[in-house]
Amino acid sequence: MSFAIFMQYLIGGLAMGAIYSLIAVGYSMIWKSMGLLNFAQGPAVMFSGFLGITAVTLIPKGTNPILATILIVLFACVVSALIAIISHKLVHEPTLKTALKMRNINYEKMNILVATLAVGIILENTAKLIWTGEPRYFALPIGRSAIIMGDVVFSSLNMWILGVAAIIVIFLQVFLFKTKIGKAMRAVAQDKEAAALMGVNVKKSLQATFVMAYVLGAVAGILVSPIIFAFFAHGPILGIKGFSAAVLGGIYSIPGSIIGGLILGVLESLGASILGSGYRNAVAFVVLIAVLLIRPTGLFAKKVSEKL
Amino acid sequence: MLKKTPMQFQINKVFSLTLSLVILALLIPFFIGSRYVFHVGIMALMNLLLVTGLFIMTGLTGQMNLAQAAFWALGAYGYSIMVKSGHSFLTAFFVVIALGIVTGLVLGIPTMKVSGIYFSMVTIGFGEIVRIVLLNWQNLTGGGLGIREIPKPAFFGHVLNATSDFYIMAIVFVIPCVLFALFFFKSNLGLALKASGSNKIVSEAVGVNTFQMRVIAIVLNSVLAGLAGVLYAVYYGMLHPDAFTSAVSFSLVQMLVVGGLHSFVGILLMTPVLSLAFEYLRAFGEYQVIIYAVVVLLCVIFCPIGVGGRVEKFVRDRYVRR
Repeated sequence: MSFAIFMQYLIGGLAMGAIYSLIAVGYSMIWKSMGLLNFAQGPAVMFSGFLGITAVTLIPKGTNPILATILIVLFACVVSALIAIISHKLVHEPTLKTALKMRNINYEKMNILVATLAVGIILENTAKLIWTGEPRYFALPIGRSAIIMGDVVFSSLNMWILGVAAIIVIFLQVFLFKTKIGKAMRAVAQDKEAAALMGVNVKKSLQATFVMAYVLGAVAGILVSPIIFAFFAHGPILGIKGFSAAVLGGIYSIPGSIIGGLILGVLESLGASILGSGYRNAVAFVVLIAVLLIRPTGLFAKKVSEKL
Repeated sequence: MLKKTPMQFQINKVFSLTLSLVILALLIPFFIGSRYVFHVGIMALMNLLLVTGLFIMTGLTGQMNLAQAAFWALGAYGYSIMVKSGHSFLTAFFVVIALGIVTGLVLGIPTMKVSGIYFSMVTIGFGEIVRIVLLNWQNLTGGGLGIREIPKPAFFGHVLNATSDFYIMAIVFVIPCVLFALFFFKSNLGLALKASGSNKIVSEAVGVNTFQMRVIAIVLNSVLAGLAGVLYAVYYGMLHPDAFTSAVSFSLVQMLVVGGLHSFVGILLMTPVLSLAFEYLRAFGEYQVIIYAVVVLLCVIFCPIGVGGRVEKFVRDRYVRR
């Protein structure tokens, strides 16, 4: 592999990795605050890609591409936040409530997992109903040109993705550490009872966490759809890649999830170049299984995961 | 001879009633006689086999298996490849069982220390890897073209061809497996398995090797799913990786939860009902899957022990007094 080709794979991998990071952070946030793995996350990312397609048709032709992109992202974020609120109110809260009454840890775990699975299936099939079952190309107004540096040629979309992801991550850190609601979310993630005693509205914070995770997913969906097409069956794959990234970096730490996403993206891109693109998706799963078997706490985690 | 107590009498009454109902239910397709009904019956029985495996693995030991379709696919592909290369039905059958045991050990032993949601994620990864390999290993599995024209097996000089033949074959497959499962749950091993799932620390304290139990559960599950795969390959006569996606695994887990995570009777009851419902919801076209998912959600929220589990509990409380 020549250096130029290696660089192209590396840049493509980093861009995909940045998207996985965004999904992974969502997983990590929900996991930390609720101990819950949300299977609807992947389908929600896929769904927002389709929302982007709809938003493109709504925006008039001559709009400034950057402004148009911001509008598209905003539209997807708002709708995803609504989905998050609705599914949280209608599904997660009642399920958790009935599950807690059962006093049987197995029921509790399985039922909530199955509930999120069902939400994911509903999202997928709604997308199929609204936007047909065909893979659809999503033309983002930005990132249409190519960047040429010597022998290295790549789409400017990759740079946009990396930039947007970086901005989002910085915003997220500011939000979590400087704003009141962000601090409340972190407090609830650490200890629900203590947070409640300090006057934090636990219910509201959990919901805010959900909304944040879905909003991050929406941005990821908008960024990923121009690369892999918007397709209703992409949900679970995106979801498990986000989760693999989170596990790789340590699901209890948000910076870990971000780095895990980048590593996963690069590994996947280089793996596909060596094994052939048919095995591209297998790389993430092999990484996931290897990490879980060798170091289940992830590469950068401090906290020991529960083994029971 | 001991005199029968009223309780025993009641259990026997319930038992014989159930038995006759089961036999009647199995005979229904013969009364109606249409091919479609036989088809639905075969699907229901195949699902029953798969969900029985899931029940042993997920219901008893509490390890959520989200790759049942992959185990199923391995059985189907193993059988088809053997038969295609000229081996007899019986050889292929035993190869599938051996393959099931090996798969169970390969997945079970390394993942002994991983549990809970991490384990379910490993199974998802396993399922996707199996599907990707099936799609890409062109020489062995036919890749995206799949395997076609799998020879139909012949028993006693009679080649299975009519849909009713396959239905009978499915019954012959399923009944021993279900009986085995019923006896297994009452055996020491089955009880130890159950204990390891409901409370790991306590069961270890009384001397149950929980790791071993988990591996046994995975092996049993993968063998049962492999048998379902043989049924699939024989019935359809063709295979394609797209028939074994994670969506299929998810729907099987949904069947398990709606049937009752801890109630085998509930599963025996609800799996055929759900399979039927799924087939007949096709009338709603594209809304089929959505309606199904909503039903599952309602069940999880309002009836967390499962509809079948609820029915079993009702019958137990009412007719089997302790």
